[in-house]
Amino acid sequence: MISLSTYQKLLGLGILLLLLMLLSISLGSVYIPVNDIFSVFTGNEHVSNASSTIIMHYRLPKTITSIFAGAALGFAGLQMQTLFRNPLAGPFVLGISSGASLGVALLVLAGIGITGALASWSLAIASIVGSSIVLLLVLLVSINIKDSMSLLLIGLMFGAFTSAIVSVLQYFSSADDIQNFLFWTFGSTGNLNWFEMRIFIPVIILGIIIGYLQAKPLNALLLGENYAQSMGLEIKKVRIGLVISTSLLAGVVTAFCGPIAFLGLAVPHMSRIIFKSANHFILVPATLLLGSILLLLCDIIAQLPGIDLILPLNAVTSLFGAPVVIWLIVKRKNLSRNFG
Amino acid sequence: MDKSTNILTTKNLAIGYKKGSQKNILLEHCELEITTGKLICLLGANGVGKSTLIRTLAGLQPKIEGEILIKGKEVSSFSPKELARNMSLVLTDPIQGGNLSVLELVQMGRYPHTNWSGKLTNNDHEKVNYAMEQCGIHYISDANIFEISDGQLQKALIARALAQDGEIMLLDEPTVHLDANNRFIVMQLLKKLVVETGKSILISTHQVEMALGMADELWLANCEEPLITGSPKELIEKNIISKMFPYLSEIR
Repeated sequence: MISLSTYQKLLGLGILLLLLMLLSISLGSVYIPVNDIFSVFTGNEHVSNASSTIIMHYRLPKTITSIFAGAALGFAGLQMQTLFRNPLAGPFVLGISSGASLGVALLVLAGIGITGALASWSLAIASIVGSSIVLLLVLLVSINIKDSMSLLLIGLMFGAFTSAIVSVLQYFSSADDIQNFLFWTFGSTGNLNWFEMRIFIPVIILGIIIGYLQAKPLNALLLGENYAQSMGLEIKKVRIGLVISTSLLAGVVTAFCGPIAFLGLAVPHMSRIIFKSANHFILVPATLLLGSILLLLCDIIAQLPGIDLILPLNAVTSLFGAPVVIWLIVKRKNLSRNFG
Repeated sequence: MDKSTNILTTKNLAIGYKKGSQKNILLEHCELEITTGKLICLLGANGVGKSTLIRTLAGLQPKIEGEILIKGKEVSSFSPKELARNMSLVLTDPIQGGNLSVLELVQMGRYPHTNWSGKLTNNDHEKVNYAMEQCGIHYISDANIFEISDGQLQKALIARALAQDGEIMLLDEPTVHLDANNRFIVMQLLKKLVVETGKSILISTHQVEMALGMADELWLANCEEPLITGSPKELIEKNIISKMFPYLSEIR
């Protein structure tokens, strides 16, 4: 096998991402030729208004959302797996998505019927508030409990607790409300308009920057917290930085796109296999690119190009994500070896 | 003609675990000294507090009472980075680095010396090179750390601690899990490092015979008694060794 350098691999993924971007804008219920896409971007007049509207108001925001959401989830997963030294950790293990669900459930199911333009905003805010409350609780516990395994279990318990409240709320809600909530849980990157993206994108970029600044501590954490501390790492500071970064990334994606499953878990593993590295200065860009690529791909598949139907995004990521994780485990025999 | 200088001192040190107002003291009234260029072996039964002492000296665990001074300065007033530049560790914690190579593992020793991007300078590369050479692991530098043997891994971990380049290295049972030959090789390596680099190395071990033969100084830990310190010769002559390890005479 030809062995490619890290830069060649990153470049390759970058090119793949650009191709998928074009494909994602071009494919959908209506096919738009690639030539027309370039014409719209260069301001060329001869393209039909319909194509231009579809691209500027639907396909482009959706594509950009997928790219940022995928990158955010992949990177959040990487941080959690290294922090908890657990190959099965993901942003959702901390209970962040359950917290977000609880926020949304309280809003939708408790019948605080907000409609119109405010609806998507209140939904997003409720979800972010829900996720940050769970995050703050986990953070509080993390300051007093040194052991990452315990923190992981506590995160799981927070998740179970909030899910239970959501179930109770669902039980007492009207069919319409349950349907609204259910649609949110299906996951979609197509719900954001340009205005909402002005919040979505900066929050993700902030989360990525905070996370990237932890790349060196993440490398040290590979040896475990004791070794990391003996090398001069300030464990509490780093842990708080990682939890803030993860919750910004996973929280804002869950708020605007619903709880998207499997991506945060699978992307870091694929990155480690492709790049054969444990160095986070390589793995961070790798998970960002691979996360974007995978979510774009899932989104293109969910569109069922040429058909007037859309599959729930969450179903597609699970349909592909679950076998990928099983394949990874079978292939490597022991995921914790590959993990790192 | 002892030219060694004092690096680490403890005064009335008590170690153990605190839970609320309840204290579980393992060792107390410890008056210890680590001087440069010495190999010190900490001996004692299981559960007597050897690992706790090492963890406490390393600042991984709070002490209960007393002072720990490095170069005259209280350890708790060091920043984590400053402390890491003075002291490095080899622990018994399992290493699960995944794709990490031996070279990358040793390079991690430079952590407290590099900036946020972790970029190694020429000086850092030299220190890493020197550490790998001293420990004789150049030939496996590209190997993945889960591919190598326990003996090789132990040498790599010692090289990592050496690359960190503090005056003191603390090793918690570095010869555990190793076969007889590798135990000797690792001890010999530590002895050589003390002589050639002038660093002070403190290890906890159950290899009494080897400690008697190779250590410059022994620290003997017994339950609810102050630590006894001294050179192997001194402690043998005072019959302390034969009292603490009666099996030694039976083997001979």
